[in-house]
Amino acid sequence: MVAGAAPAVNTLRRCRPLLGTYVEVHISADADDDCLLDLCEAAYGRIARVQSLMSYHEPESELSRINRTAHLEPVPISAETHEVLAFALRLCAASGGCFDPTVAPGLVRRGLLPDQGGDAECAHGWQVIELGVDRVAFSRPLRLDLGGIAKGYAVDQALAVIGNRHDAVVNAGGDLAMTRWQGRDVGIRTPGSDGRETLTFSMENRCLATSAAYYHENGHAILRPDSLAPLECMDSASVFAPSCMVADALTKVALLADDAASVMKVFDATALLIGLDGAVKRL
Amino acid sequence: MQRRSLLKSLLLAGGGFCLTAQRLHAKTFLTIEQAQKSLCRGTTLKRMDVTLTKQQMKSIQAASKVRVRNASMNAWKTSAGGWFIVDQIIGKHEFIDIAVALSASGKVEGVEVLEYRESYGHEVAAKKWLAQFIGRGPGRRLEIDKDIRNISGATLSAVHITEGINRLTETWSQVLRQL
Repeated sequence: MVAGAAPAVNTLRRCRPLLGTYVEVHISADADDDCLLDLCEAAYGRIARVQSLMSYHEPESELSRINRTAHLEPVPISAETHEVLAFALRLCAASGGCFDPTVAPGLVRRGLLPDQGGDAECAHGWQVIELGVDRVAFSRPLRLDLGGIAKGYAVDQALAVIGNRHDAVVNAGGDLAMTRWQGRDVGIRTPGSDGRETLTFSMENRCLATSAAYYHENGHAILRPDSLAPLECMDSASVFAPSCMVADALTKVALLADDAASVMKVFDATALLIGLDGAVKRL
Repeated sequence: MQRRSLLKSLLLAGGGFCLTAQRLHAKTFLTIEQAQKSLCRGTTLKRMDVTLTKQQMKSIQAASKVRVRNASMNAWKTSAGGWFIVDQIIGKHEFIDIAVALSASGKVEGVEVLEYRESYGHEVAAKKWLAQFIGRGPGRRLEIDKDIRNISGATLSAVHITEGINRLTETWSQVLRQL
């Protein structure tokens, strides 16, 4: 017999289209529906804010404004964009340029990103980004694209606003974070199955993100930063990390870097590569 | 809710035979009532009987460039002059029930996914894909994965939702705004 009454756990699951994908928020807590709806609302509010700041698709986003004018004069930026950009630059250096948030012109040329004006002709190279305390400048025209990192950051922001005292999961189209991840299982879609099959793994950290070529009809959306050629490897890369921003960004490093395992160690992350045949390789 | 009992009956129908497995991820989220409460706070809702004419369907399709499949709408008008609509989206890999709140000026105020049923390729091309499993003979087992297991994978695109919302805002512009 269990002493005392069991707490009345209430669960709410919501899903909204945001960040170009489906964003699910699950919360279980000793609270009524209204309280859980409010918590979800706050989480979605954070995600919507990240989208409004960092979307490449929206001409009025902070990112699009940066891309239009940062080569002319330093552009004041939000604390959120600063945080993402600071980590992006740290990872550019740590991965020897395998992670590079400036390859957008290659994606625009292949129709995977919209052209906001002269994007396709723009040269790339993260070294020209000059990040100050509260502003950013480019030493020549550049097209910054935070698509490989901002989704993970949005998930982190959403989970932070819900708080660790609740059992919560935020999953933005496969980039996910959980407050209580120990002992939980997660399904990872295998490449080559059209997403139909999943393999089950134990969560190895608070967050997990996966990148792969599947679902992209126009070829791989991950480009080799040196040549801007699309990646030919059809493996998927899944990264467990303490933050979803880190996990999201490191999936690209896992697919592109020769010494990916050592980069994972730097960021307290672990990575799995899954092949078309379902074979799993741990980095 | 009707669609829930449909899924339950599918699960029962599928339990009896066990050959090739067709896994179907089905996830349910807010109920219609919860979505109304969340998207239309502070207003009262009145159920409206809206059926589009053939001409209206054609015209909405032409303007939104999205196929209009159903004449009859699940629509409520809010006391603030806005609308709450429950609609179904058929994507390449999924069936999605959504709720959309529109303001009195036809602006999208919120979108909730109520239910997400996933499938692939040719199955989705058939309009009554789900119905085909009812009473189906041996040879196919339907598994409905209703647990809340979290799934990671390359990002699924929500482009069909965007198309569905464009169709509904066009429906507002051509029909609902006059009601």
